[in-house]
Amino acid sequence: MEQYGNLVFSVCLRLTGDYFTAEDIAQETFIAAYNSLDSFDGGAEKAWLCRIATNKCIDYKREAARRLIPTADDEIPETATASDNEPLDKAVCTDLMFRLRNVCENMPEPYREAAVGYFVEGKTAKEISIQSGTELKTVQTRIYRAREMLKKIIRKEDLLE
Amino acid sequence: MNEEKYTYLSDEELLSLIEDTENNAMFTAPPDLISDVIGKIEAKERKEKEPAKGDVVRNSVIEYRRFCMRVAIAVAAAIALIFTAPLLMPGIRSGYSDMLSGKYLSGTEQALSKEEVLKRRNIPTKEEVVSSNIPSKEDVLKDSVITDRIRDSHVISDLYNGSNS
Repeated sequence: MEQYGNLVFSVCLRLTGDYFTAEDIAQETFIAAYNSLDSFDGGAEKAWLCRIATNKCIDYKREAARRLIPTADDEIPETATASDNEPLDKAVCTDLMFRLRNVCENMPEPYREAAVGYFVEGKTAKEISIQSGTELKTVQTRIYRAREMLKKIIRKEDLLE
Repeated sequence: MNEEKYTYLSDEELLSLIEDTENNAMFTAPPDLISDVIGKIEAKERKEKEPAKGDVVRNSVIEYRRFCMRVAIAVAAAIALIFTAPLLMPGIRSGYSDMLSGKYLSGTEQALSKEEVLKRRNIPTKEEVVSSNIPSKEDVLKDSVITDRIRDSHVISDLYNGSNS
């Protein structure tokens, strides 16, 4: 799992364009893979994991599309170049991460430290706890609250764009 | 509809996506991703191991019925014992028949007075006890058997020897 964690997450990020959705789907991917280990033949595990991840991302996008209210634009035939099946460009993902970093750095204390450490620097809650001399439970709570704040801010920005 | 726009990737598209991601767009996953996954799997397995609520209720009902059955058997055994005990044990029979006849309850059998009980027991009076054959101090000292016994006892013999020497 640790070997493919970054790859699965990156694939999910490219397909969904949302950090937190990508995180959720990456988790679901590993849980689904664990549950169907019996049916796995043992070869090409990378492709197998990515297949689960991409299918889940597409299911998510379908579900999201179903929730949207149909508009008159839906009746206009899609052009061949405007296919949503294409994954997001690397630049878009990089932009996403850049925005995430910005939002983390602008968060109020004490959430800023936890958010930057966890989401930007990639430290675990335990590492942040040792480094800052704060209790692990407190750090975990701060990360949880920072995550909720980040979700709200980033999704609101997406909506306004 | 919108849904039709999202079709699953073909094998070629998938491999191309993996290759492109690995080469150009690798991002670091959240640090606790794996530990969260493990935690969720463990929680799910723990939940599956726990008996369902329906099973718990069913087990409690079975347990309650067993308890009722035991109590009923114990009551039945006690009632049976009440009726069979006089037949099996003759000692109980007479007392039991007296009880059934209501002799004690009706008052036909008079309770004995204190004096009657004392007369039957033939208890000696205080004077009789005092005047009975209790040896006096002089008699005891004269009695060689008793003095020899005292001398034979360990402590007394030591004292006795010490005073002699």
